[in-house]
Parts: sequence; structure tokens; C-alpha cells
Amino acid sequence: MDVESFISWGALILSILSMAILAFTLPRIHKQVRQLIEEFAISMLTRRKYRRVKRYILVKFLCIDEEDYNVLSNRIKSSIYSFLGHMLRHKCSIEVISYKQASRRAIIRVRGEAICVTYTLLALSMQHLKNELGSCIAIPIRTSGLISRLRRKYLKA
Amino acid sequence: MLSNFYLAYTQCKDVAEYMKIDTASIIGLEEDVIQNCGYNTLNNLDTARDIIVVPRRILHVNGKNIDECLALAGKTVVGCAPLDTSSARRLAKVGKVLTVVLNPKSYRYVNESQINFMVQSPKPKYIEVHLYPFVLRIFSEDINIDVEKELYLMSNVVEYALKKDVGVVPSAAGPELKKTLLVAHMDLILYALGFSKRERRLMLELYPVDLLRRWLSS
Repeated sequence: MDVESFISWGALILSILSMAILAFTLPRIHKQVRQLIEEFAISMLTRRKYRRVKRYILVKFLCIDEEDYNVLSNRIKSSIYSFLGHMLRHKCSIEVISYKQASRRAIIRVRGEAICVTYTLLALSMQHLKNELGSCIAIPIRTSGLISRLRRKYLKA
Repeated sequence: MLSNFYLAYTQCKDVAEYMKIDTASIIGLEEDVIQNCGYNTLNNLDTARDIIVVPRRILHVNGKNIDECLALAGKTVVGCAPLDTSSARRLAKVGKVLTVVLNPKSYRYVNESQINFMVQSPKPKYIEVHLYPFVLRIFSEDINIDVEKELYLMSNVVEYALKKDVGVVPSAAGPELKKTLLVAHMDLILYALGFSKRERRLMLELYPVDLLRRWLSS
């Protein structure tokens, strides 16, 4: 066996050995790294525990004649919160941010987890069945992430 | 063409108000209500769109009165809610255009096996889901009602029916205007149950038109 073939065989054996060692130790290294990340709370910086979203819902009310914005806002909020219940109230924030009396349209802001938007839409759809808001039917028209879009297209129409 | 295939209204003023506020173009009403209100009154309502009013009858059937339901099939778009398994199977096999009503009373009998029978039917059959009775169960004071189970089974049956290409027609079935579900509300409830946009369009637009077309040609 000449020197060149000896070197190439040696290199091959070394590379196979290194791959085997890597495959054997990789799970341990991965576990150690994860423990280190947890230890130093780096995960708090790299990924969020939950993603907070903000959505605007355009709603048409069919029988509200309130002129006082604050009274209207409180009625809508209490109606939705009574549907969401105590457990979801700390996760979801509801706010009536705009109301146009002529067209009886309001924009409601929902902040919190993504599921809050679905629950708020459901609460708006069902509240009249439980005689909330004086049996006033609410029709969710559109949901958007940008308030400017809803204002421009619907409230100014 | 959006539809609300069954409104259990009894008052004409409720019907008139509903036509003004909702976007549905196909509306199912009890035959008696249409006669009481008068065809001319319904046609002359000031609405911005053309509305098709479909005469409906909804019956709960068992072994004794199933023939009564089948006899109505030609005159109206009849919906039969089976209260036992044998009635459900017979409804699946009969060669008439009708809907099998899925509500909290009949959900035990309108299951995946029933869908398999409906697939083999000589004429296409439709599942009509009455949403108001299901939603009403959520507000019930009775703690023994397992709403989660009922809604889960209902959505499972609907999903299986869509998979097998059995028509599904969701309807509000609210008794009065104050307790009604508009098309937008039904769309949201179906969305919350996990149905995609395509499936919801199928249920709210395509299948009702298909049902109406088949009933008119039968």
C-alpha cells in the first residue's frame, strides 16, 4: 500500500468516525443548548408566549337610537363581555372607537389573542337571542387590521 | 345568491322587516304564513333586490306519520326531522326531493351512517341544519345539556356530508324577527365551527339553489 492510498483511507475512516460521534452526541448537545436557553431566559427574547393581535370590526346595529356615545359604548361592551365571561375577559379587550349614528354603524376594536376576534364576532351575532342590547340585532359587516380602510370605505360612505 | 331556507316566522310584519334587513335572496317560509300574508304583499315589498319565497313545511316524523311528510313533498319543499332510525333510513331511500332536518331532536339519527344511505339514494337528498335550536341550547339553564357534544356531532355530520357531496342547507329557523339569525350570523357560526370559506359558500349559496332547481323540476 502506497502513501497516498494510506492517507485517503485514513481520511475516510476519520470522517466516518466524526460523523458517528456527531450523530451520537447531537441529541445531548441539543438538550444542553435548550437548557441553557431556558436557564438564561433567552426564549423570552426570541419567541413570544402568545401573539397579541388587534382587529377592527365594522358592525351595523339595526335598532340603536342612542345619541350619547359613552352610553352606547358601555352597552355594547357590557353585552360582549357578558358573553365572553370572566375567563376570557382578561385575554380580550373590547373598545367601541367610532360610531356613525346616521348609518348606525360602529367600529369595534378587539385586542388580545386571535381567538378573541372569533368570539367577539360570535357574541355580536348571538347577543340578540339573549335579549342583550334590548334585542338589537348586530350585523358584523367586515373585519380588518387597518382602521383607516374601514373608515374610508364604510363610515364615510 | 344567498339563502335562508327556513324562517319559522308567524307574523307578516316580521317577514317584511326581515326582507329589508337581510341579504338573502332565497327565503323559505311556512306555507300558512305565505297564504296569510298573501303573495301580492310579499311581491310588492320595497326591497332593493329580487327575492324568491319558497313554501316550506317542517315535520318531525316517526314510523306513524312519515307518509304525511312524504305526501307533502311535491307541494312544498318539505323538511322531515326523523325521530327514529327506521324513519331516517326510509327518508334516505325515498325517490322524492326533500330535506332531512338536522336539529337537536334528530341529531342522533342523522349521523354518518345516514349520510352513507343518502349517497345511495335515487334522487339527491339534502341535510337541512336548523341553527337556531342549536344556538338556543347554549343559553339553556339546564346543565345536563351537553352543547359541546351536540355541536361537535352536528359539524361532523355536515363535514362528512360535504365530503360525500350530499347537499347541506343551513337555515336559521328562528321563530320571530327578534330571535332570528341573518345570513351573516349563520356564516359566522359556520366559521366558528371550523368550515372554510369555500364550504360556507357551498352551503349558503350553491346547495340551496341546487335544491330549489331540483324541486322545481320534480
